[in-house]
Amino acid sequence: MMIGEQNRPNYFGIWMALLGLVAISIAASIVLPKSLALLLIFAVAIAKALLVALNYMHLKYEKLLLYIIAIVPVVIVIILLFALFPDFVFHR
Amino acid sequence: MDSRAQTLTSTGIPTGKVGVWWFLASEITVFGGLIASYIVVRLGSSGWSEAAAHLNFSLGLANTFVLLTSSLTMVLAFAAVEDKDPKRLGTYLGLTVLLGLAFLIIKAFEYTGEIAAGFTPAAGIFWSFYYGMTGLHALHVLAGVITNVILSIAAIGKVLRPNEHRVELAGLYWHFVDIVWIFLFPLLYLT
Repeated sequence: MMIGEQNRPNYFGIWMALLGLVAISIAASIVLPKSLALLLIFAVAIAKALLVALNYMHLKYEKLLLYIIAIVPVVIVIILLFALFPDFVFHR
Repeated sequence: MDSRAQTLTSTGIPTGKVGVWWFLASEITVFGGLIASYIVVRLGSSGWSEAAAHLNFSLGLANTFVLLTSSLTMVLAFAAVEDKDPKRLGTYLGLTVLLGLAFLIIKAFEYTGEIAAGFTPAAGIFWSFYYGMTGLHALHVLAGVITNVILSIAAIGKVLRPNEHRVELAGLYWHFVDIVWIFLFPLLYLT
């Protein structure tokens, strides 16, 4: 796929943003209470993953089919996560 | 001459790219299954934070920096393909290989220290998950390094030209490996 120099994302800027987000999650783990820190850390991890997938993997220039191929297994994993909750987390 | 990977599927997407995304979808369930299991088992038991406190945070952070930077060099290699600049392509592929190797060397140092301190995979459930997840991830990094070495040799030998789309396909895999680490680092080192 050709993206072209004009439409190309700012790759270096994305890298800086990723490093900034790492710093935010480390600061959160030190400063915030644990449950709040966990929420922020995982929100930041999802934001970082989206930055990489959309810009470095060029998903934002792709057709719907590739989004579907990428999202279906994520949904399956989320279903698995919640399906396992009753056995492992609530059954203590 | 176009290779089969560059021919378009009925959806208008090159066959090679659909193939790599399909492979990555299977990888999402592999790592996702491990991560989901880790989360529920951890939430259902206690004492994990104490075990996680023995991890070498500095080396984990260093590896995060190395892998994020290697994603930048990999995507810059793709940009070099677009710009038809073989010299830059060789440089960025080489840098990505070096950063991948740096990740593996740092990980090896980390494992050595942990095992020397008695934290083997049999030291407890946290350590079983830790070695299982990071070990599988390190194998993926190794596979990416080998792929990029092959591409680098082809680029230096000036025989990559008809198959330069492979840089984009190898990049998709490499960035996926980076995304897995983006989740492993906070799960293991920050919680």
